Amino acid sequence: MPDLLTHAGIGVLTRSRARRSALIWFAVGSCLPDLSSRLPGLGLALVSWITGIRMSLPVLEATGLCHNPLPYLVLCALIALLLPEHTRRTAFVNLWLAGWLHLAIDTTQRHLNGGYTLLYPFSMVRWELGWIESDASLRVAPLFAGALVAVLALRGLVAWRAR
Amino acid sequence: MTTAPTAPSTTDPRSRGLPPGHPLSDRFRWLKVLALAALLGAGGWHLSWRMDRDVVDVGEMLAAPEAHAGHPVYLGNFKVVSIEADQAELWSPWAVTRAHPVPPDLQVGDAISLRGTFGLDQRIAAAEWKVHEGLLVKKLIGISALGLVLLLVLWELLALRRARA
Repeated sequence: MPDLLTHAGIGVLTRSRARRSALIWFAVGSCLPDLSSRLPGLGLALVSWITGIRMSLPVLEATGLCHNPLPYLVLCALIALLLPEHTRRTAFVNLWLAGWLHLAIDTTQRHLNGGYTLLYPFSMVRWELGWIESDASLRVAPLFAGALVAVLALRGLVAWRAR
Repeated sequence: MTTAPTAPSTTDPRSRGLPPGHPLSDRFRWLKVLALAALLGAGGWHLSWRMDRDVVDVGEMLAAPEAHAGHPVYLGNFKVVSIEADQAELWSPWAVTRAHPVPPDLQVGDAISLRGTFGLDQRIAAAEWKVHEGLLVKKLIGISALGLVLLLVLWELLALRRARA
């Protein structure tokens, strides 16, 4: 995965002209595929490292479910249903589109495991474009951090002047 | 005596902002939440069941090396625990194993992924190593992003609550 700063930066720049609520859900959606699929695995690995208990591989594999397009869509619907009704549509659409943008960006990388199972559950074929190394995004992350701050500052300035 | 059917109220709080019968409307909300959570749970089980056929469990290979010897496979992510002569000891949450030969720039503490062949001597004959650079920075960014995401969601929910009040 590219780092979350790059994902969030691309997300905010893509949706920078949207209203605040949509922008927030899009920014959250830009990070959600990684947060929902990597955090449980990292937590289990940490527990394993501290306690020395060997983790079951199937359990670790299952935690990566929401880094696939269709299960991610189900996760978005689940989150939307937990929110107040009048914001559900905005939250669902922005989480969904941002997440799929995240997955599209991820496919530009190269991994030794062959890539992502984008067609899960219909196929386990792994695929990616392999244009960049998975660590390459760290070099442009400061640039995206700057752009992120600039966009948010500009929006704040515009809102302040409109008062 | 019969009463005339009435049109659905547009002020019904259960349908505010969404057309009647919309899949995201409040009707049977918790039933839908449970159904989607069950679907994700079943998906996780199914994914791990399918993955078992694609990715080789190093723990299983250690238990029965003769069944897996000679098949070049992707072996997952490891941490380099030690390097001795021509082999490295590798740790992952589900196995500790050894691989050889060791690339000259590999260091203890490196996070790597590995593709190779598992031998009868219970060592991996490495075909391709990949050292994950900047992993600590990535993790720090990840933790910061998690905090930021939680703050954003909280901010949005508070704003929604204020707007409704």
